[in-house]
Amino acid sequence: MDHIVQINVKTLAPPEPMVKILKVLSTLSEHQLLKIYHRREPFPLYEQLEILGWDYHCKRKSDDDFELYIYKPENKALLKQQLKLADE
Amino acid sequence: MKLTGLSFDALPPIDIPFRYFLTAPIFALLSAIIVLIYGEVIWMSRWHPTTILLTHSFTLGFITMVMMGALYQILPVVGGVGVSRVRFVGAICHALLFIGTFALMSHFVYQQYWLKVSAFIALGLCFCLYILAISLVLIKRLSQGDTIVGIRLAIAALFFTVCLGLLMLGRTIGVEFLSSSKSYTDIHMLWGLGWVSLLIISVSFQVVPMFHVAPNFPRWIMKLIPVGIFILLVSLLMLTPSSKVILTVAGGVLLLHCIYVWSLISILRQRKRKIPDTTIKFWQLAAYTIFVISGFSIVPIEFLPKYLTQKYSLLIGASFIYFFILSVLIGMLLKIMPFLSYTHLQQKCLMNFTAMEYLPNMHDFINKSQGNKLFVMHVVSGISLLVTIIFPYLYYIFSFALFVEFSWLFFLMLKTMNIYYKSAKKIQLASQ
Repeated sequence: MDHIVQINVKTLAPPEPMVKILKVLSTLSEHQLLKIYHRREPFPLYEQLEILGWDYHCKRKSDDDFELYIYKPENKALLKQQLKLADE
Repeated sequence: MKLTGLSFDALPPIDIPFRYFLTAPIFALLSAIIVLIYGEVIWMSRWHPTTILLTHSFTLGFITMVMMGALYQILPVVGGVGVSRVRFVGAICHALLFIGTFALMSHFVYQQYWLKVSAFIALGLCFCLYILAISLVLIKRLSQGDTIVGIRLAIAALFFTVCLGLLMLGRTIGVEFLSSSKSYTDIHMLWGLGWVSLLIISVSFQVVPMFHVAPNFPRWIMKLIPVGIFILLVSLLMLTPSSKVILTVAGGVLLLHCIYVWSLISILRQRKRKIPDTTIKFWQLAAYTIFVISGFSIVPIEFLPKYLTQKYSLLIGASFIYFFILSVLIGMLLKIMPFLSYTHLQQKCLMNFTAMEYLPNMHDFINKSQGNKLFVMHVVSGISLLVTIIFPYLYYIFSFALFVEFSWLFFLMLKTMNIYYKSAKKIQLASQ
């Protein structure tokens, strides 16, 4: 099983990005991390992630290029590993 | 990074923006009745009390009502922070705006002192509370810089519009801080249109690329246009008011609008999802209107027929309000109302994914055919407005077209709310 699941929602119009992200999250195991390629910072999603007990980290690459990582709080090491890889 | 300090529960309860949206068409329907009752006299001069009555019914009752309601929702989506105590602020401001607008409109009809005082107090309190609540959000360090800068300028423009409006109203109830010059009315009007335009333009920097999967607006457009419009409006306060100064500033503002809509059309052409969408038709109508108004205003007045020159400023003002501002607002309502309903329902399914089966399709709220009918009605009522300005005896056609259009919009809003509450009930039952 891959530890990283990646999806790209850049070409989807609201509310499809949130629907797709929540659908993928419902199938994600607690040991996996979801990496999302997004055009904007999805503030309304954060509230929903908080309710569901997921942590997130958003990395802005440019005005219309964001990478969002969603993970369980106990998997923070996996996030650090991913961010290190992304920086390299 | 994770935003610590991000205010959860930032998204307002759905009934807050919806109460503003549902009240707005009532004022548009009242406007249709005003047109029918007062007939030709409204179109004789822009200074006639019934003309001012109609203008405020639209600008305060419909336009400001929709924009104030929408801003509660836009701020948390764009900036990540919402208005605190939103239920209290939203409900009080809505009630005060409703009462104040109604009192102001009644004052233009009955000319009663107590109506003027009521309008002065209610609108004064409403805008004080609203501007304070929104400013407390805007002073924070928020994401999406250019849009937030534009919204800050829009709120500043609202502040100046309200101050001028209250000072002019105050003059008639003994609070005399302002001399009686008709130029102040022009400045009040330009600042008012400025507040609406600044908000529309700034918010479009986010919502057009987001909803239509289009490229971002060029950075220089996002930086230059709102600041440029605001500087021109500020110059109105610095310079001695005269018709020449007002015309020059209005020309500059129109030129900046032309640059903006040229960019808007360009990015809409480059959108990735080229599916038919009524909201795009409304954006395009708004954009081409600016070109037509600009073309009309650069033609030397001696080349225009007399029936157009007599109503020159009324025609330009009405076209700007009806075909630019109202087109954008109605187009956005068609997009925002189903989106908000869907998002709030989806949130109710979070703890129980099996309830997702009760989630309606986005198109169930307002379908394409219903949206298209609204677009046709809007074009017809807009044309009938311009025809009525030129030939006032045809006022009843405009009244009828206006009534039909906004009855239809009101029906679509009620339908959306009905589907929302029915679905919310099903989701709640499934979650028990």
